[in-house]
Amino acid sequence: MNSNIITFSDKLRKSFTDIKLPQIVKNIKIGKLNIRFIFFNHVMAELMTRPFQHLTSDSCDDDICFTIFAADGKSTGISPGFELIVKDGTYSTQNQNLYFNHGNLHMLHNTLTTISSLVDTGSHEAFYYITSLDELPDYEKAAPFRMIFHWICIQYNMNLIHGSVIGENESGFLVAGRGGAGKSTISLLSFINGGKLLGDDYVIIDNETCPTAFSLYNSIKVNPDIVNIYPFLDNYLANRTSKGYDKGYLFADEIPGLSMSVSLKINGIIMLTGEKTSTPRFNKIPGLKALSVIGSSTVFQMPGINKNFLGGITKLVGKLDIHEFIIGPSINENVRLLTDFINTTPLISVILPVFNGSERLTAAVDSVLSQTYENFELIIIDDGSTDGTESIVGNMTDIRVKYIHQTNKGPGPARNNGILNSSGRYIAFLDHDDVWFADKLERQLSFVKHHPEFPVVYCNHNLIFKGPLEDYPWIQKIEGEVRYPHEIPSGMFLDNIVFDRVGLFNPRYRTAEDSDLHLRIKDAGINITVVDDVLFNKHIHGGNISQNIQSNRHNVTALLAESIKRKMFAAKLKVSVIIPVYNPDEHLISCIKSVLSQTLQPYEIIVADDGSKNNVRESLAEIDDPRIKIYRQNNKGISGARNFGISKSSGNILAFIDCDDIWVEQKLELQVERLVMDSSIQAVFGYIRQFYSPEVNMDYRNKYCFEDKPAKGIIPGTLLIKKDDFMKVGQFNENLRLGELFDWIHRFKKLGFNYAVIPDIVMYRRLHYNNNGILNKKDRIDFVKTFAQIIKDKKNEKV
Amino acid sequence: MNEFYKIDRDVTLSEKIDDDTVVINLSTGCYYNFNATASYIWELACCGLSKDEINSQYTAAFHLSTKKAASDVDLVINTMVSDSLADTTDEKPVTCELPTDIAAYIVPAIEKFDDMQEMLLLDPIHEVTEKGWPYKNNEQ
Repeated sequence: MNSNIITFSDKLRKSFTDIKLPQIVKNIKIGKLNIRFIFFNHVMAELMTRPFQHLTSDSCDDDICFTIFAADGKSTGISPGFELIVKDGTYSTQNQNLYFNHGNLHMLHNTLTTISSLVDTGSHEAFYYITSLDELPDYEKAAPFRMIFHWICIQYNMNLIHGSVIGENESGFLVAGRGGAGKSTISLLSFINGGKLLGDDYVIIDNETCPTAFSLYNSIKVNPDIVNIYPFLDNYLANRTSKGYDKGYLFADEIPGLSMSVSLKINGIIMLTGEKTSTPRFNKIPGLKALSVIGSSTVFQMPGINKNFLGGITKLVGKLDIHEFIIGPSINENVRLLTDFINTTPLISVILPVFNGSERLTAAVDSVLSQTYENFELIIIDDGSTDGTESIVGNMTDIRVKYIHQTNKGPGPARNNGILNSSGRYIAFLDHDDVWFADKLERQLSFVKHHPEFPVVYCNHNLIFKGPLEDYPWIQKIEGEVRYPHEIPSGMFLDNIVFDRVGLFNPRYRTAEDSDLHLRIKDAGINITVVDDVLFNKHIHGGNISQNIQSNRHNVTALLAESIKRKMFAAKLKVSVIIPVYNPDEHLISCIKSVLSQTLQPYEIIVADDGSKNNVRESLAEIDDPRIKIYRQNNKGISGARNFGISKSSGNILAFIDCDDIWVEQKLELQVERLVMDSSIQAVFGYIRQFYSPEVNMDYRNKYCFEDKPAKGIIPGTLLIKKDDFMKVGQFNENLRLGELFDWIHRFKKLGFNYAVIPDIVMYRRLHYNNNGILNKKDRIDFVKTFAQIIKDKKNEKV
Repeated sequence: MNEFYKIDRDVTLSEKIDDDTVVINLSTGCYYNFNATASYIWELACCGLSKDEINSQYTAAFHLSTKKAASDVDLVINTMVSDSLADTTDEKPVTCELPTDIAAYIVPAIEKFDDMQEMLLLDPIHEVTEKGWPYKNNEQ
């Protein structure tokens, strides 16, 4: 038996050395490994090194250098004699593989694909053979030479593992699970949402010191379901033309703004079991379960692997914590929980507004800088102080301190300025006259990390009075006991995302602005809690703003009235969705389906048919929903159609979408919440992402490129506004074929109205043959004329 | 060196409205108002004149000293180039008819606005043709 294996190996090696074609050499580096590929066919070289593009190296001169020869029989004429080993190797009926491990020689031959991989760990050479490139399966194009890398890794105390590695900053987690458990999906989503990705499906783990993962392939498997959620991914599918594939793949470096990490330290293992629950969660589990899953799934993907492999995995699992991730029904929530989990270095932004408070500022700042939790930034907003605050802060040497000066606007706008300039995931406020206890941030951070369902956390405090209590008649006393609310800024600790949902401090309130924010958070149904510990001293002295009783009472009354108004409006909420159409095709169906699948359901969908030549009602026959109302008018253009739709609407909120675009399912819910909760705005827009409609050809794609990343979408398809406010601004200008929204926004701003742009992607904008810019000269003139009118109005306003 | 100016009409839109010219830069999202005199310099540059030729034309049109004219022209041309409304080139572009309407002299001024930047930076236009919005290319 052994002689046959050696004869076969020698014959295979010789057939490669006999190839007379020129060699094509490509080098890559993976941690301490240097790999040299030698090909004899340019197509094969390009195809099979594509997944290693991020690892490209100039040379392969270091001590550890392995050479992989790769050839196809069709273009080189070689034909290894597999019959020699048929009876001596081990045959696996599962994948019809034939394999052996004998001394330095390791071999796997797939009888279906004809792919053979032979590694000689003694000579540091490997040989890869396929009968014809035409036979190369998609999975081999995405992750080639797997078996060869397995045997090379074993030799250097490394392991090629079936799993993904995702992370934040410089460290990551191995995501393991059996095939179909959702590893690729969750890893891709984490990557798209700003996390790091080192590899999907296969990664190399170096066990020598602390476990470190190295990237091998920059390909990512794509489940077709993901393309439904993120249509833009379809643009990057490497096997988009293949028919009948159940999984596509793409290369990470083709998605603008994303690049795969090359190495990450491993902090733990996240196991995906495929189990689902209503509330996603992490459970810590024993290592044995992980060992069995990683072991069996890797063996399944790479039959014939070396027995030393399990030793390496056992060592890895022994060093790391294993967490089981049971996913929930909402993809967004799963990704958010995962991001929280892997983010090992959360950053807090501490916002400290000050106005002529230099006397007490140093004590407040010291209490922040001496926190036991140290990973924060302290943003001091000087609200136009004239008492030397700037020079006091200027003398502070701690690099975590940032100073921002603004003209005096009050504490709400000062805190808003801090929020807008913050980079922290969490926000904490401190008034300049209060003093935190050293473990304040640590305690509150620990609480929110363990209870993410409470994004807003207050704490208890001591009241420290300057002088006798009688000097403070505005302090509430019930039966002789001082009553002071928990809900004050110095105790507040919250997830930054809360501001995206309810807006910032309302600048209208110079006092009670904190109560207004608190009430809006409460009205939005966001969970608020109090850590039952005294974590700061609240100083009551002669200069407290809240002693302005008159203003305080007035504002409290006003904000309560606003709260009642909000609740009343929310109770009778009716969203009318306006879709202007003109000769629509089947994209309209996708558009309407995206509206009907909203988590906050629309009251009605007005299809404003602008004199189409085709029968719009007939084209919508497959959707049977009484909320769809089709109205027809003679052709007036898109603004005329929108205005017509508005005139037919009976809801109290208007939303628009063009018939070729697609809404994200939470679009209405997120925007309506913000519109209702944030009384400082009258309209809400959101972010969009663009995608090529599947029918557009490569010429179009090459001609009309776009930066493929979320972009602020100030366009009708993201606009949400109360109908009353829309009517105050007035209809879209029907004389403008282009630039009608610029004209409308200008009129909107003239009324003193403001809009918010929520940071979530709310819409996918379809790029197709018909929306590629300003083509018609007359339209260009109209477009510029809109701006001329805007400039003219600005001048008149100045006068 | 005799410098000419090239305007990329795919990116820079402009239109003379009354005496002023409104210029929109679709790549930066800023828009501008050139007053009548600045507008005249813009037009001369668009007509394919070199900087020296613009100076001469401008000096003659407003009967200014060479120094004053050069300073005015510099002001406008510098903004055009620094704000990427025009690129400099050594090659003489195709010329067009020079403007004949010349308003009374005022100090040239360019006002810059960026309040619509968010909207302008994202191509906001859904073109509408007879075929509808959108239509499929039947050749595909």
